[in-house]
Amino acid sequence: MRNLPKTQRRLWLISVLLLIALGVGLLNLLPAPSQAQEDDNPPLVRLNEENIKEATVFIMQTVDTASGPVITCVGTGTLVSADGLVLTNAHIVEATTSCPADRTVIALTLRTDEPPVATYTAEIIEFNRGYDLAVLRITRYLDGRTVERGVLQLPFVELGDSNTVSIDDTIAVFGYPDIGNDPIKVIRGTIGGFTAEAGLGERAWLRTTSEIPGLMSGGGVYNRNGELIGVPTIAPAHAGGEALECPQVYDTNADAQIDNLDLCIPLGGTISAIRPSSLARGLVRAAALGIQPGPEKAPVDLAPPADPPTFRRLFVSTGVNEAGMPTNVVTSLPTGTNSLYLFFDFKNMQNGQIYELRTTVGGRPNVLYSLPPVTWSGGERGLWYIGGTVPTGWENGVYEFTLFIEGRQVDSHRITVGGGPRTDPQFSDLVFGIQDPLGNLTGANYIIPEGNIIRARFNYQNMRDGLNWQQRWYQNGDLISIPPTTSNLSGWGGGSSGSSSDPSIVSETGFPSDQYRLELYVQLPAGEDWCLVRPDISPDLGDWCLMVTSDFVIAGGAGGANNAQALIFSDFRFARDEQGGLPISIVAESMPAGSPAIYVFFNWRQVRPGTPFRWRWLVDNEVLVENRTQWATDVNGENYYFSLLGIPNLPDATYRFELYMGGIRLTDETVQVEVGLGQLPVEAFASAEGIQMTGQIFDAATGQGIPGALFVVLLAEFSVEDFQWQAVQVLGRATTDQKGFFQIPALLPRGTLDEPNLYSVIIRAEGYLPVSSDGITVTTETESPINLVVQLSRDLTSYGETP
Amino acid sequence: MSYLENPKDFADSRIARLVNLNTGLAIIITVVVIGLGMILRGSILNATTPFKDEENGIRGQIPANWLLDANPPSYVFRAENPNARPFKTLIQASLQTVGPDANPRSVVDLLVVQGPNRLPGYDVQSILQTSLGEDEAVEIQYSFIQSDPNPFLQSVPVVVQGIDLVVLRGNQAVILTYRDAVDNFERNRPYFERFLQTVEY
Repeated sequence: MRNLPKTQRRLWLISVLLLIALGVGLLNLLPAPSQAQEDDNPPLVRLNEENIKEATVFIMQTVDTASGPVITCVGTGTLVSADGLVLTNAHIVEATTSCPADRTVIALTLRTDEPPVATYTAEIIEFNRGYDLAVLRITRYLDGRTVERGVLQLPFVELGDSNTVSIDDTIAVFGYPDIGNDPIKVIRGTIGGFTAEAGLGERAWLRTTSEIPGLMSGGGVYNRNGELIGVPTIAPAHAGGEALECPQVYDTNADAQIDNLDLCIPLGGTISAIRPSSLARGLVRAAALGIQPGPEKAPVDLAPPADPPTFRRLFVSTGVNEAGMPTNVVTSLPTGTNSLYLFFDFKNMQNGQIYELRTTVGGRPNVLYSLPPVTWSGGERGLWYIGGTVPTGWENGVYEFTLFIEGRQVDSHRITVGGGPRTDPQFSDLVFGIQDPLGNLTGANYIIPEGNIIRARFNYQNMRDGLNWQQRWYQNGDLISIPPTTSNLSGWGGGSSGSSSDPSIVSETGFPSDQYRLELYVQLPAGEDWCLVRPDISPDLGDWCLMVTSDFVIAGGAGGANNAQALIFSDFRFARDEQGGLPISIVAESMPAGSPAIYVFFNWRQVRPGTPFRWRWLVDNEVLVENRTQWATDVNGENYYFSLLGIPNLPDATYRFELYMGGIRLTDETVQVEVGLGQLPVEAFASAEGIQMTGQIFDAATGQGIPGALFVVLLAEFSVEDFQWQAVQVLGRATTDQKGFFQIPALLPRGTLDEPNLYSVIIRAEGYLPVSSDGITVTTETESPINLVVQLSRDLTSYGETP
Repeated sequence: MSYLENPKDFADSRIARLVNLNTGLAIIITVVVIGLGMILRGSILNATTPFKDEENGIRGQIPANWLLDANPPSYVFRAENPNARPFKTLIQASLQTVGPDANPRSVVDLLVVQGPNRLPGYDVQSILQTSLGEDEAVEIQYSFIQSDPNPFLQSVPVVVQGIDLVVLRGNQAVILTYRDAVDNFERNRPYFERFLQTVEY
């Protein structure tokens, strides 16, 4: 070769180069060689915090004006599914007069150190004003195009179990603290306690003393495992219809000025209350399954009360029974008292109004014993309570409880905690029943059937014979018993302690179905002060002390043992549809798969309109749809119905319907029907568990990111050699962005240490040699995300290829 | 002067001939190999693989080593060129139920109406009466802006050009789609043309 002329040597060289190039080009077209080009550096490890931040969204309500859409209300939300379900507060997304809205805009945390970017619009899928929780679904892009199902693969978080949260547990709160100007904020703190609220039990609220800005309302509270355990909640309080803190930011009336004529954005104060995830779980699952409450025979349609709302008859009890009634009434409490509940009557309230409890101890505001402005859900009138249990005991001091409605102070109550055990008379545990033929009380309940005689039983201690006492019975707020006069005062003769069934009331014509109340009083002897007389409770009672009280309902006909059981609802039937109020296609125990709706029909006896009750649907024993409402039709009748809709169809599962009145369940477990296989599919709910895979693909020669490259991760059961370019073999794929970054939208399921999941990846980009690799190991201990940095070498033969 | 008179010249001339022969052979071999390579490369590039969906009654030849996805009823199949940049060249077949009085044009009208809701920046460029085999067909050419659905990536939108070819089959419209980045549209269109030559429905 060395002897060849220069030109010929060049020809040989060119020929060899061309052959090499041709060979390489042909190789390029053959199945991808196993040529791993992972970075020498170990994968970058980001905390799970990054995923939580990306799953946190900023929510804006917008209204269309002459100058275009403007923002009227803002808040935070959290993505709870990859396909765009967002959990937030109901008050953030509900259109109201103070917060008009034509659409809800979702802004994503695209960069965790930057403000959010408006990306989608969403619609309300599930809504519970009482919980102040709502679930939205992202349905459109900002330009109005529909987001097709299955397209979105967004980062999301899973709901944790808020029932396992304990006092002093560490939490992290994620949300947006400002009107879109600041990046996402993380506030760390601890759980300081729990607050009970009527209808929602002891853990109606998780409490924290951390300083959380009000605009983070609707965001997420996470435990140390990164699980969503609650939603920080505060409603912007109003006074006289004006938000207390409501800056004008946008020119909403297009007059080129920002002034009081423009709509303002209401801001909350400081959040200390957290709605537990246990209350959100049903809403989220119903949204994921496409289940919504359907038509009801006679839904209540309450007109706004004409009179202003009031709270009155404030008193404290140390316990709440299963019917939500106070176990006693106390005017002072000894040191070490663990439980304390503030009860009060409410009237002329409207669901959605905002109420608040401010508590001072020894004159100093106490955040944990207060309840920040939250949404009212109790209906128009009734008995309500706020309180809780403190394991270490409520601290000693004088407690001043002050209640507010829409920022307006309405009533207050004072009680002292401290000192030794009580020695003053005490009544407790009031229950009701009817009188059996022997004259004894039978049944012990808060729902009793119609009859002529109502009796009550209570426990007592520290009583003294001779003390005057009296019973006062009310029907729907009106006194129906004859109060004692000086000539008929009842002197106590039951001894110091025991149980009494003396209270009773008789009606010759029988007591109609309605809501009733009993109050028991003891007259404070002259010279004694163990009772703080509350003339505002019963102005005509002078020096009488309220000892115990409870509400009960008379409804239904008598049945069961000794006819003491109220039989209200009967003859439950399931149907696939209704027509003219009658069931169509009644089913016995099961419905075929793919049914779009379930109707439950039943008959009723003696239910007075206005009687509060609660209904709920359980799907595979989990409460998914629930509502508290009032009876709004005839006293007696047949074929009342509720329904449940599936969008587009109800998933296979067992559906149970339950009715409650006064906290007592009135249906048994046979009121259920199976759809299809009778249980939810295993994959019904997406899991946020798994490994995220991200990375960058760049040109080995230039170091520049390669846009448009395809990164494919195969399902664990397939290797590169097995891959037939079928999408069913692909776990996830992504195309690199302008800088060569990619993010696989699906999470890589973990294997175990003994049997790790092994993943294969394939990288393709026109103009570059293909790369593939087997054996990316994912176990229970693999940190997320896996960040891959891949170099691609240019393929000089492929540029400009034509088919 | 003969080679007997000057053996050195003789040797030189023989070497020169051999060299020339070798050079010529090398060039010929190279050209032949390159030609064969190009043919082989072209055949691999143009290689197709059969697609068959008996249930939906669609079959045809699609490019080999394209990522194939089937997701009825959204689409019967979708094949994408994994190498292509910035847009993954796409060939797709989908079905749409139509009434007995429908014609290809009425289906195209629906596609045009729905287009802006499905594709950002949707803009119709032409609607042509054409045929597919012996069937009457309507071809709509359009463009739109393709953005990465992952909002967490900084992708620059791509202008995409597309064709929807509509033919009727009983009470169904068969919609055959080709899409590619506007710069690659004509270059890669033969993939689609070859698919149209083989498609049966």
